[in-house]
Amino acid sequence: MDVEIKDLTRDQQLLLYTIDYLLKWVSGTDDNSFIQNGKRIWIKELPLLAVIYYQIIKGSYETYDYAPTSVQFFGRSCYSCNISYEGVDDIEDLRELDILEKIRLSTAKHGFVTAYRITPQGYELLKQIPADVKEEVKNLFYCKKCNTHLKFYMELGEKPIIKMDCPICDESDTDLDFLESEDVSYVSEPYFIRVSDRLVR
Amino acid sequence: MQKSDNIKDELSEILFLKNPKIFVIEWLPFDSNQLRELNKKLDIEKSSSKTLLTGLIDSDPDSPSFLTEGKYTKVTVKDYDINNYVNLEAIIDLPEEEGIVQIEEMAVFISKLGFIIYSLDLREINGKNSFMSLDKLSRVIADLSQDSSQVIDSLLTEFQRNFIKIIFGNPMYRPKTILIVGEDINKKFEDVKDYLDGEDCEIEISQIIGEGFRAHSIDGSIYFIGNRGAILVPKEFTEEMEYYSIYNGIKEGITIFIDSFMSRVWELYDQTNEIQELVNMAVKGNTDALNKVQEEITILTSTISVLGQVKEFLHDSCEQLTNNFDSLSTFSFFEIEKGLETIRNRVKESTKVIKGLLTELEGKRDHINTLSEMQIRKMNKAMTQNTKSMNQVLQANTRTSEAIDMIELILAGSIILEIVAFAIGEISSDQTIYNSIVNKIPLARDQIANLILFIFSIFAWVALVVYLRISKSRMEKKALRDFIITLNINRKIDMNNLEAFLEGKEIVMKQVEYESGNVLHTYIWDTSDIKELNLETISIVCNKSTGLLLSLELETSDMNIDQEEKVNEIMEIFKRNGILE
Repeated sequence: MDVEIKDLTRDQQLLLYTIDYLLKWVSGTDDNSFIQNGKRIWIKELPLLAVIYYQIIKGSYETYDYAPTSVQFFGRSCYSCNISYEGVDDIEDLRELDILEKIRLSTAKHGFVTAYRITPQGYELLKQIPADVKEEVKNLFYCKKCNTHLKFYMELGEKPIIKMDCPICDESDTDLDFLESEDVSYVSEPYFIRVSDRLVR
Repeated sequence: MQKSDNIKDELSEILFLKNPKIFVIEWLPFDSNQLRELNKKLDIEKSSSKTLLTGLIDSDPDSPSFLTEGKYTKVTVKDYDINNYVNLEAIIDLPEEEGIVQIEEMAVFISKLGFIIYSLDLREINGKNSFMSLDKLSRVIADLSQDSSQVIDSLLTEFQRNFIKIIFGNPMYRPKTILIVGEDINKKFEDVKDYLDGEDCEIEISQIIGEGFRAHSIDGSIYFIGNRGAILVPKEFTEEMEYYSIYNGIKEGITIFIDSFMSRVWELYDQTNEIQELVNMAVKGNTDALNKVQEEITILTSTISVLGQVKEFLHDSCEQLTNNFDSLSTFSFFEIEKGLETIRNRVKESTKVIKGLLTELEGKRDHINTLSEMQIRKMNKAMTQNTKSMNQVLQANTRTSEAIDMIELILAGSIILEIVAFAIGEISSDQTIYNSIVNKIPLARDQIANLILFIFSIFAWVALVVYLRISKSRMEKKALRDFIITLNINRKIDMNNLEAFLEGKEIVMKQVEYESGNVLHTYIWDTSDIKELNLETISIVCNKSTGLLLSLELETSDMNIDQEEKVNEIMEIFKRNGILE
């Protein structure tokens, strides 16, 4: 399927460039081979969604919002993660357009992990990404003080943390707060089920 | 105006539900015994007013009071069937950020079959009632999922908490299933499939019940059923509908539990394979691996046993839920029967895996025990060899020591000859018997005197050797004899008088030991010069912190000593010196 950059929305362009940026960051290379020790690199869904959330709260996306969603880590504890379903939907759209490829594999802890990489067609499109979109991504993931790429890392301890650090100074060290749930004020009253006797006989 | 939430983004809210009821459903291992424990905790027959509950354990039952901190659940028993269920009203009062007010009251239904339903009528969000957006509802649900764990944690037994910890890790964060029932929805389509637009509507519903949900429209009622829960907008929320939608939630709740349960089982399977690597190392003679593998097998077996117990709870619950279920074709789209059947099969199949794991671990344990026994046999053999070698060395040493002893004695005896020679001065060669014999000269006075002196010296030398030999053996026997009398006293003493008493003693050892906040002093003093005591040493241990004399130890070489009399004698000395009262 031939796709041109104008076929993508600005949010989709931003998403594509973000994935490219993350792949470049993990591979430590600027070319598009993304090969490390002879193996192809994929970006996992969870850090990608964390980055999308961070971009949303920084105002990068025009149409995305997010909602707390239960995500089970390693088939065990379940945390509420701020996931953008508009982002998830756009990832699927980019896949349908043959711009992204998806892989799903089992983890050592008997869970499943999903990961993405850009197709050759996607790389062709990346050449046409407008400069302002590129700037939007770079500005967010560059340390203003050291003018260097920020480093992402995940600590999957008792409560997972996804962070972004400057490798040189601590000026831009940021917790992406991907697992920080937001609160709303609400009032509730107990609702007593009417079928208790029928449920337990 | 102060913000009543802490949402960092502008939400684009599309779908709104009118007066939603929210049900959070989960399954935990429960049975009649656990329910009885819960009833006791709730003091169910007496309690009609609100009771504060906490998950803390009174770890000091002898104390007249206890301390608590942090979170409580305020509950009131509304309704119960002592053997089947209890229905509570819970008020959650947890600190929130400034500006955020949550008046969170919910009903909690706990059944002996293990399913727990937290249910509430949502009256308002951010001060707005009636229609509430799915975007905001997702925030309420995230809060309820966590707070419901807090509520039930105070009501569970340690036995259940242990299960939950093994299955979910952090017991406060476990997955649950959601059911939302709205009286109306703001956007209505002719065709229910239009909600699956791949855009805003679908996205907002997916946020709550998961992607790939099913949509049904029957007689004006709308149902969305996903893998994390369901959203219903019925024309009327009848008891019939409540029964089937809750049953669907129970089915999903058990499915979630089994998913996590099976993850644990497969994890244990992997750990069993890791154990095999340790076994291989142990076979190659790595003793550290041998010790580690024994420990690992014990831990794994214990965890598998716990999973076996959980499986029994699951089995009993599934059987009863299947038997209790009233099938009705109107609500067949929930696919409850099919789901329950799948759950039953999964539980049944897990038995095979758990049994297999236990058998495999049993085999590995036997293998390791055999290796341990082999190791012990090898060690015994090596020890026997060592003992033999040591005996040989000891015998050689004894022989050498005997020879050295003899030489020492002979040399010691030679002193006599030196003394005689010193007493009589030098003997010239013409005064010796040897000279008379060789030169055929008759024995003169000098020669006879020398002969007598020579014979006397020899006798004195032999006598001295014999005397030293006997003395040495007596000393050795005396040194080897050792009679120790030990007595636990545990009596109050005057520490100042003790210290004054010890000042005049020949202390041979003083030791201070710090143990769990106590300071233990050990004193040993020599009494061998006090003949009437007939003791070599006296040793005491006292606790300076409590002022107690803990023990007394008397050492003597007299094997026939009257121990009671001796102890009394020492105690009398202590009393005389004001040490003991």
